[in-house]
Amino acid sequence: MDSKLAFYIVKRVLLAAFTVFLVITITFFVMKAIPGGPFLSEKSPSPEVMAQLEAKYGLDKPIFEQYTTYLKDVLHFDFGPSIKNRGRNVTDLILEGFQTSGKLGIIAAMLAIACGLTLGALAAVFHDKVLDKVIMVLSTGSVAMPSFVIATILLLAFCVKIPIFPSNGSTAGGLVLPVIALSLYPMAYITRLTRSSMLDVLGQDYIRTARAKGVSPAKVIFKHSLKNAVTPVITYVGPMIAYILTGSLVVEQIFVVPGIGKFFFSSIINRDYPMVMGTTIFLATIMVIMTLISDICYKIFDPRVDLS
Amino acid sequence: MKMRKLLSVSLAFAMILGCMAFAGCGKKDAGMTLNVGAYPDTVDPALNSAVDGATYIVHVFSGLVGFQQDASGKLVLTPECATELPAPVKMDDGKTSYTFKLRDDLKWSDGTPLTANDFVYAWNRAADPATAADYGYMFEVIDGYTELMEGKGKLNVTASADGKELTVVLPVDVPYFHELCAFPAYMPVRQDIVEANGDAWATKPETYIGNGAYKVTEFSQTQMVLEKNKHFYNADKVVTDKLVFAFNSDDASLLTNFQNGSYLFIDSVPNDEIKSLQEGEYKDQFYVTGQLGTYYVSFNVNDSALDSFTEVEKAKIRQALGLMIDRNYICEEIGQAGQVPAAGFVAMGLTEPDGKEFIEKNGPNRDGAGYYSVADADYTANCDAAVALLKEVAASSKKFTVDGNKVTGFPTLTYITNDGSGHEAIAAYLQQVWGNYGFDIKVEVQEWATFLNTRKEGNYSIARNGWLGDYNDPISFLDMWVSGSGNNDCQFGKGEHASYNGYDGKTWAESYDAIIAEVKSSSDANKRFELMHNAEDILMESGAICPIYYYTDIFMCSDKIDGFFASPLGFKYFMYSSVK
Repeated sequence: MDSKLAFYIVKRVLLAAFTVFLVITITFFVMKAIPGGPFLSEKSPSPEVMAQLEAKYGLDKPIFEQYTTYLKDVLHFDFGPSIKNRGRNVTDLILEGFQTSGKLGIIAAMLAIACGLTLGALAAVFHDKVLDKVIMVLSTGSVAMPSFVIATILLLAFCVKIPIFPSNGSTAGGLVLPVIALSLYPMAYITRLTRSSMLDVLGQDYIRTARAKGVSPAKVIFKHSLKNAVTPVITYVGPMIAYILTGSLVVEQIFVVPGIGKFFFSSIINRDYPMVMGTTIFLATIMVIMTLISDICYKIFDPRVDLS
Repeated sequence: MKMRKLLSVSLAFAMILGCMAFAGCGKKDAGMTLNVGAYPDTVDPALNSAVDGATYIVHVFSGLVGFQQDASGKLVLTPECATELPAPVKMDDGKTSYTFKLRDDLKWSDGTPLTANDFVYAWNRAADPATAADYGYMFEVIDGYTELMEGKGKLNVTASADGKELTVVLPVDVPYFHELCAFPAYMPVRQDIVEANGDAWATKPETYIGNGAYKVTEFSQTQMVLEKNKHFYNADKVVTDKLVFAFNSDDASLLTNFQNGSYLFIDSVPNDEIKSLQEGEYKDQFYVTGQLGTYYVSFNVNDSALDSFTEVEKAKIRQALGLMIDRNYICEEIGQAGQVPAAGFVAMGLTEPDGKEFIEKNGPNRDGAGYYSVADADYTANCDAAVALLKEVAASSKKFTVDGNKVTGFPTLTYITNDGSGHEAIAAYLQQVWGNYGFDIKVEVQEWATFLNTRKEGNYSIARNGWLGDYNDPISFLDMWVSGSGNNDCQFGKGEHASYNGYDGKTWAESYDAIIAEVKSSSDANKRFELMHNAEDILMESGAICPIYYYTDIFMCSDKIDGFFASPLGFKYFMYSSVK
C-alpha cells in the first residue's frame, strides 16, 4: 500500500467517524421530537409505573443530559438495553440478527454481482439480439417488481404449489428463496448498469483499435471492455451491499428469517429509542465502510483515479 | 484475464453458497410446531401484557389455579399448584382471606422445591412499581397494594412456616379472585434467579426456570422450543413431549406454513382470505371464538370543534352519529370474522352472579336489548331517530340546520385511526355514512405510536378505539373511564368536562367515579352488578363511546391436533393436546 493510499484511508476513516457522529446527533434529536413514547400502548401503564419506567431508562432526565450520556456509552460500545424487548441488550439483538442477515446478504450480494455482471456483459455483447432483449425484459421486470411481490410469488410457487423449498427461512435450505428474493433487484440493476456501461465502452476507439489489431473477442470483452465498464457498477455495489447486509424487512417477514431488517421498522413504531439509535449507527457504519471500500476499488479498477 | 478469473471465481463462489443454502431443504421441524405470534417482547410473567406472551407463560409456569377443559369441552377453573379452590373467609376486621393449600412435592423444572414463599415473592415483585409491570394493577384487589405503591409496605400475602400454605387477604372480596390467580402475572417466579440475572432472566433457557407443563430448551429469535417438564405436578397427563412455538407475524407466510403443514396452528390469517377460508377446504380447521373485547369509536368530550354546543347538545350529536352506523355491514363486509354487532360497551362473555351473561341484562331496561337496536331491520329506524336528535340540537343551538336528512353548516370533524387495512376501511365507511347525512368528516391515518399519543392526550375529535378485558368481570371494562385513568381517552372528568354537573346534578367524579369506587368496595355480588350496569348507562348516555362490535378470536388449528383449547382472553393451551 503506498503512502498516498494509506493517508487517504486514514482521512476517510476520520471523516467516517465524523459522519457517524452527525448521524447519531441528528437521529437522537429527531427521534425525541417525534410524538409518542416507548411505554404507550392500547392499555396505558399507571402514572407510577410510567415514572418508574422513565427513570429506569433515563428518560426523565433533560434531553441534553440524555444525549451526552448516550454519546459516552456509545464510545464504550454500550448501546444500552432495548426498551421493547425487556432484558435484552441492543448490541446482542443486533449481532444476533446480523448473523442471519449478514449470511443472507453476502450470498445475495455475491449472486447479484456475479449474475448481474455476466448478464449485463452478455446483453451488451449480443446487443439488439434476442438474448439482449430477453435479458432486458427480465431485468426490467425484476427492477419494477417490488420485493414483497417477488417474495410472495416465490412463496406461493415453491412452498405451496410446487413445495420444493421450506417456507420457513430458519430451517435447513430455507435461505434459498430469501436469497433469490433479495438478490433479484440488485442483480437486475447491475445487469442494466453493466450493459449500458459496456455498450458505451464497446463503442470507444481503443476497442475498435484492439479488434483491428486482431485481439481475440474474449480478451476484448473481459480485459478491455468489462474492466473499464465496471466503474459505475462499483458506485452502486457499495451502498447496495450495505443495505442488503442489514436485512430486508419484507423478505425477512415473509420467509420468517430472524434477521435485523425488522428492527429498523419495529424500533421506530415502538419508539424503542436505544434500538432506533443502535440500528441507525449500525447501518451508518456499514454504509461508510462500504463506501470507503468502493472508493478504494475505483483506484484498483481505474488507475487514473487520484485518491488524494 | 484477471477480470475473467474474477468473474469465474465470483460465479463459482455464488454457486457454492447457493448449493449450501439448498442443502438439506425439505426437512421439517420435529414436534408440534405452532404459531401464536412474533418474537415476544417479554415472557417474564410479571412484565408480560401480551396475549402471545401469556400463551408461552401458561405452558412454562403453573399458578395456584389454571384453566382446563372438562369432558364437555367447557373451560373450567381448576386448582393447579393448590389442592383446591379455597372459599373466601370473612375476617374480624371485615376483610376477606383466601388460604391456598399447596400440593405436596411441587418442584421447579430444575428439581428445586417450590414453596408458598415463591408466590409471595412473585406477587410482590409484579405489583411493585419498581418492577414497572404493565399489569401491576392486577394486584390492586389485594390488601397492602396501596402501601406497596407508596413504598411503605408489602402485599398482605403470607406463606406458612412450612411453605405449604399461602394466605391472601383482600380488603373486599371480589368474585373473580380465583380467576385472577390463573392470570400469568400471578405465576410464581424464582427469587434467586430473578435477583441474580435481572430482567435478562427471562431471555435464556438456562435461567428461564418454570414449574409448568414444559421447560424451555431453546429460545431464539426464530422459535421457542419446549420440552416436557417431568417435575410438573400433572406431568402424566402431558402427552406431547415437545412443542415448538415458531415466531412469525406475517399473515401470508403464516397461512402458507399452515397450508404446507409446517405449522399445525396459526393465530392470525390474512384479512382478505377469511371468507375463502371459512368456505373452502380449510373450513373445518378455521375457528372463530368469542373474545372479551369491544371495538368502538371514542369521542373526545372536550372536543374544541363542538365548543359552541352545550354538553347536552354534544351528547345528542354523538348519539345521533352512533345511531347512523350500520354495525351489521361493518361486521359482515369489513370485519368478516364473525364479529358480533355491539349494543353496549361491556363485551360479551362476562358472567353475572346468576350465571347469565352481562350483555343479557344490558340496556336501560336491563333486558339485554342494549342501548340501541343492532337488528338489521331496525337500522332505518335508528337513522330516523338520529335525524330527530339532530333536529332537536339544530333547533336549540341554531348553529346548523337539518334539511330533510341532511345537516348544513355543521363544523368539520376529524376521525383519527392508526394504519391497518381493517381500521382504515371502517374509517372510510364512517366517513361515507356520516357524509350521506351532510357531515364533513376528515379521516386522518396516523402511525401507531403517534396515534396512541394523540388519543391519550385528547387532541382529537373522534378516534378508533378497542379494549380487551383482563378477567371475567365487567369492572375490567368500566374502571378505565374514571377521571384519573390513563386509558380514559374520551377525557371524561378532565378539562372542561370536569366541572360539568349534568349527571343528576353531579360531576363525572361525583357520579361515575363514585359508582366505580362503590363497585370496588362492595362485596355484595348482586349490588356490584347493578352498579356496573348503572355505570354503563352513564357511559352510553354520554354518547362518547360508540361500540361497533364485540371482538372475536380467529385462528386455524389443524385437524391433526386433539385436546387444544383457548380462553376468552385469547390464551391458547396445548399442554394436554396431542397430534393424531
